[in-house]
Amino acid sequence: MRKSANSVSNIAALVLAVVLMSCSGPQADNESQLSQATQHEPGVGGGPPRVRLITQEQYLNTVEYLFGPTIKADIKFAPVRREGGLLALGAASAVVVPAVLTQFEHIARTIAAQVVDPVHRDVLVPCTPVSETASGPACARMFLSEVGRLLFRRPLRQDEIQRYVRTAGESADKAKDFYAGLSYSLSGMLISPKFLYLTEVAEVDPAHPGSYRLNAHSRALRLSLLLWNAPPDDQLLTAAENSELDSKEGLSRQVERLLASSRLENGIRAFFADMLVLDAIDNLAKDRVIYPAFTLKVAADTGEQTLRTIVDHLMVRRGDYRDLFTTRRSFINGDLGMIYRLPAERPHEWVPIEFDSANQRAGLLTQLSFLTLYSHPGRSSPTRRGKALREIFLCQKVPEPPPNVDFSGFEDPSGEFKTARQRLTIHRGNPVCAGCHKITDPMGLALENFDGAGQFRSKENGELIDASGKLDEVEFTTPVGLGQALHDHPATTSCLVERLYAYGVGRDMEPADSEWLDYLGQRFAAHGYRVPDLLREIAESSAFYSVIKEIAAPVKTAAVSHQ
Amino acid sequence: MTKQLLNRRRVLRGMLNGTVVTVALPILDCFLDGNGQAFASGAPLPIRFGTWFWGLGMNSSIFIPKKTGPDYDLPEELKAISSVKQHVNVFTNFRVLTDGRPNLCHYSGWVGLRCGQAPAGRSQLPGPSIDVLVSDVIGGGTRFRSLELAATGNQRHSYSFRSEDAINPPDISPVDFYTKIFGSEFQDPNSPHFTPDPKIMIRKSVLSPVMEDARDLKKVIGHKDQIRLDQYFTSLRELENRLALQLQKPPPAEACSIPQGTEENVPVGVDSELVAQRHKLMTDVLVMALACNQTRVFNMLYSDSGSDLTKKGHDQTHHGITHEEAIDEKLGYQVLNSWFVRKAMDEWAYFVTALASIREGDGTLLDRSLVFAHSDQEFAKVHSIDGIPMMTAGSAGGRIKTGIHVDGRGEAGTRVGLTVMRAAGVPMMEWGVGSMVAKRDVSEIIA
Amino acid sequence: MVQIDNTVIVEFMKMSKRNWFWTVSAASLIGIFAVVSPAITQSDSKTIGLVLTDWHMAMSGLEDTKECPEGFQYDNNEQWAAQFPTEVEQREHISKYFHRQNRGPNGENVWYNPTVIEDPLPFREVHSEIADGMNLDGTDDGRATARTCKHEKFTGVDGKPAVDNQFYRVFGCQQGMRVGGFFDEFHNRSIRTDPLNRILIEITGVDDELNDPEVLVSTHKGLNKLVQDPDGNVIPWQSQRIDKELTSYYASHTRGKIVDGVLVTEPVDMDWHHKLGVGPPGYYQINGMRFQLKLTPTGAEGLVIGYFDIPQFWEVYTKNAIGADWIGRTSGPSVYAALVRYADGDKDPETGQCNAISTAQEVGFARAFIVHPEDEGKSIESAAATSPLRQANAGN
Repeated sequence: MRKSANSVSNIAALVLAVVLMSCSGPQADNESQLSQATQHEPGVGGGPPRVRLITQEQYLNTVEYLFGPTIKADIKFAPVRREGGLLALGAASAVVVPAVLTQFEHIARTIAAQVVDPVHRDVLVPCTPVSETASGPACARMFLSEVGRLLFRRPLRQDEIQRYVRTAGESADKAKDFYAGLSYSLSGMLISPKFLYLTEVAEVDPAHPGSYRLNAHSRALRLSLLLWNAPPDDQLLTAAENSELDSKEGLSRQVERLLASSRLENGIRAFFADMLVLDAIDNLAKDRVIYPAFTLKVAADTGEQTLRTIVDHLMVRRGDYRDLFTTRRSFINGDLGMIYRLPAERPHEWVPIEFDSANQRAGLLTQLSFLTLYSHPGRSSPTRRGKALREIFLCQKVPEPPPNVDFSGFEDPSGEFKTARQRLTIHRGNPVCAGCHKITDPMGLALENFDGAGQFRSKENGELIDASGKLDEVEFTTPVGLGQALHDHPATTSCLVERLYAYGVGRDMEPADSEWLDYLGQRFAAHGYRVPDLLREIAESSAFYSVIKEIAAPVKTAAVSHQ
Repeated sequence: MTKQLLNRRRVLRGMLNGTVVTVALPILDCFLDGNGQAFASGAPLPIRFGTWFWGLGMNSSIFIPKKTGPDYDLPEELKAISSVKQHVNVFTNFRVLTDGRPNLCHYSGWVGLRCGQAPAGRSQLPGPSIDVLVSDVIGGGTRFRSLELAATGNQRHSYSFRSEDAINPPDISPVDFYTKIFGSEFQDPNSPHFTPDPKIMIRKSVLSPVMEDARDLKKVIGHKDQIRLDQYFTSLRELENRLALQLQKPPPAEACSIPQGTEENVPVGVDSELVAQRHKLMTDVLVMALACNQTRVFNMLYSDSGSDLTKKGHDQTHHGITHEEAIDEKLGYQVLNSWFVRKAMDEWAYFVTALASIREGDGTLLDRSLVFAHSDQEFAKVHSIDGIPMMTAGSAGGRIKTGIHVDGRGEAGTRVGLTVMRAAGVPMMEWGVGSMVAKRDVSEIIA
Repeated sequence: MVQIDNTVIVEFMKMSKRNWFWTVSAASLIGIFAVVSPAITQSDSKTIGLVLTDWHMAMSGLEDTKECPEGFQYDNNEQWAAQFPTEVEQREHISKYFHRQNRGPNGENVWYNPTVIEDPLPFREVHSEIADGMNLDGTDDGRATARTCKHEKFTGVDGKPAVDNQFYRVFGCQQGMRVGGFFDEFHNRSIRTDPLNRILIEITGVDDELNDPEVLVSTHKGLNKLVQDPDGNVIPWQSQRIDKELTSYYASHTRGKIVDGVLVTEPVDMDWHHKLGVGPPGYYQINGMRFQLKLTPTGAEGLVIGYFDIPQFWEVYTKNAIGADWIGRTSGPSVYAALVRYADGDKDPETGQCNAISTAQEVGFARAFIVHPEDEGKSIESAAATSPLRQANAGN
């Protein structure tokens, strides 16, 4: 019986062997073999309805959808806690502290002022007031109820509309400006918890009395967040309002519409940016003497390169998820070309490239985002890379380092250790350290041909680098071999399924979810590990929308903040 | 206190027959009593409380003064504070007791000192942190409840929180921090003219439908989320109070002068030079924010716990160095590690000096402040949390004696936390959990 | 001292004929290039791309006091003060001619008319016997030949005999031209910032970076800005597109060989375009230019050697010096006189006067990827061709 790797990881005192043994996920590729086993969706309890704090990208996606791309919002939200490997789960427990509300209020005023400015009002405000210098309740009502529905993701009740119309009127009279009044009222909506908190509400599931599911608007919300990383658009809200989402066909129609939209790219980017911890790039910088080519522009571009690779491979080419670890296709620009030592035909643009087979670059592990985030500012780190590989791509938890390690064997005053492998041999030789280093270093060392800035090197301190390594029982001799081993690792796909599902439902996976995750894993395999198909499976399942009414306080899980 | 000040002003305004009060700067002394210790109303000048953090401890053989009590000696790593030593207390040999919880490297130590108990796991922050407890008491009545700053430039580096989900986000850019304080919403407390901004009145009125929305929402969400929403309510009220405050003429602030705006943006990175540059720029704005009554509580982080600060051209980070650098046989300490510690102490000295350089009443801003500084480890090489170095600067308006070295003799470090919180005005019988409960002040520094 | 009157100057200025020296070799080279080029591109040989990062007058490497024991050259203000020694004379001159540069007998500007007067203070030239460069005239004593004028030789920095570098003799004691001086500083700063200074070298047909008997060397103009690290160093491996519009002005093609990692090229004429800061753009006409570059893993450093055509040089130099002669510490009449006096190349067979001056400039390059216009967007096309979207569209 397979256990979810992550649920295992919740148990703090974890023995390595258990982690490794628990990784066997679905492996079969054979559609016919699978079809018998996986015809029926297992019944699932689900978790409580979620109340998620809107993320920066969701906020921006909302503003762009409602008001168009010319509304500028230069914002940087305070980070939320990463939980179960995902910020998306932290958003479901984040609170709005005073400094954060102050920031929201500032952003809200900036945006609201632009929406009604002379350039935009003709397009965005659907009516003209009787007087521009006084309140105009009829026009205000028209605008606010329309915008309110999209911001609060459901039609507003009369009393809700009325309170914002009243505010618009009072403000307009005070400011002697109709549009200013409208702007103030809109800024109120933008700091309302009904907008800032993406709130789900449960209802009795008519198909299973006694069980609960999300109500139609909450289903639309969960669906839209998963596929677009944005709240529902007008059509999806309409579908929720006229019960279209209650039928399998109706839901499927909307899922197909969302999957076919170019906004799917936002959804795919958001999920992988979260899973791959690309937010950490905000603080990525290297020692400028040791790695002068790793400029801040390069740092910022590393995440974009990875996301472009992912979108192109998964969405445009409909590729196998596992091939993300072996693909030689990527994109570069002139700045990244300095690190990859490759020409960029148009230095200021992103151009597709294909690494040739002589090159040791293949797959996400050999991209700068991974190599540099999990290095030190002035040197590489096989341990950090190995740990990140296990935690990010295999959903395993590497135990905490012991506090009282004797580092004396590690001191190297005469500089006799030339390579990281030599330095780390000391760690693996020390029984206290060996436990963890054995599970991180053998993979990390296979990436030693890439220095702390991700630049290729064949030698370190004059000594030839031995890039051989081992991932669990699979041995290899090059970085490309490591990518292949990860490609073939059973936990690679089960981890993706687990993370994607946790991301969608906004909660960490528990042992009770393992049957469902197994089922999804088999469906994923049956679809040739194509992520859009997995998204469809999730989005069309009833499990995705089922919730429990009684809310048990969820057990806190380990996160990587404050390390 | 604010209220009394406003009443006092109203009296003045009455005397001037309701015309706009135009008070020239030199007359500001009129607001102070003869001794310059308090406003004429009798209310004492406000106490400011803050924390200052640096990561990775120290090298005890060249950090811990040999002499305890007043006039302590300054070993090499403390040399930097020589010019402000008379304002600084040093606390050594206090412990963090985990009561059977794991010693999480670079985590349990500082969390223990800020929360009064060690965390059960790495994701836990059993808050509120000291500064939040203080700001709950003295933080009202100013534009900002507290100001958080991270000289590392990393948004995740804040050790001020109510819980792990309610961390106060730090400002990370000196330019943005300047704009936040002295940008368009700043009201010069010494400006002779004051007209309430009608826009602020409207902004305040906009909050009422929002409050109604929050009440609606509370009805449809689960218990745990209701608790989260309560924090939203608190924040909303805070915003309301802040806007209300901006509608009143701010009380004059003798030492307030708007500093020159900085346009110097420090690039991302934790090279020690960049961090020091950021720290200095932020400190300069912060001291003026304090002098201008923009906040009474602040948290400055110079380097984070387990800090990855680097020395230009050196391939190891400070953290890596603490573990891998050999102890120099002749000198008896880690030389490169000590370089980083000394850099931190240089910046600590800069910080204290900056506070001491602002004249206020008959003393300085530092005299009416209390800054609690500490690290995450004692000797980072072995992750020891016994004897994490702590310091205070400033006398909290005469409540704290300064220039003293205290040997904690292995007692819980929470005693220092309790002492500073009480001195800052938090009425508190005891603080801490389990073995970390502290009931007594560090009497050596009580004035 | 050679006396030159106004008429001679005019002749000098008009004379922009070149290739008198290298006509034969250049012509044959073009022929070779046309034949050899396709063969080389078809082989597995490598291409090395370089982008210019530094340009300095090559000096002796000695201390200032040994090169210039008398001190550095006087500038226009000092010469003016010496020309009009009393306060009365000075006031009178300024009220009449407005500017200290207008100190010709009839108020002529002495930058545009450097021969109308002689500077009163002596010209200070290099006293060192050491200089960087190459034996260009083929003689061991600098005697006059059919094409060159008599001049003194230097010993090379590396000890090799009979080095020609009369340019250094003239400018070696001019503070503004020396490394770190005003013109030098400005030029080098604008190399990094101004795309008009984006000079590219492309070495093709490289089979072995250490020793290769024959490679082809071309110059182009690049288009892209140079990325620098926070300390201002140019980062290697940047991509540089060739500037289709302007590259023909910068172009040169020659042959070379690599010996022990040093590229040495055959002489070719080139217009070395450059722009100093806010000054106007211009070019040095370098006759018989050769590269002598030590190839490094991240770039190249070495010399650009040849003869500067003096009229063309003067045109560019004047434009820059006229606005900043007091910062550049230079004075037109004495510098011009020295240039003419020490000119050693491009001898006019009729007058016997040389019109060009031997020189060596120290240059630095960073490795770069040179993108030819015909290659731009190639990978986009090829990727698009394999994209399933493209295939789906093609089916429709």
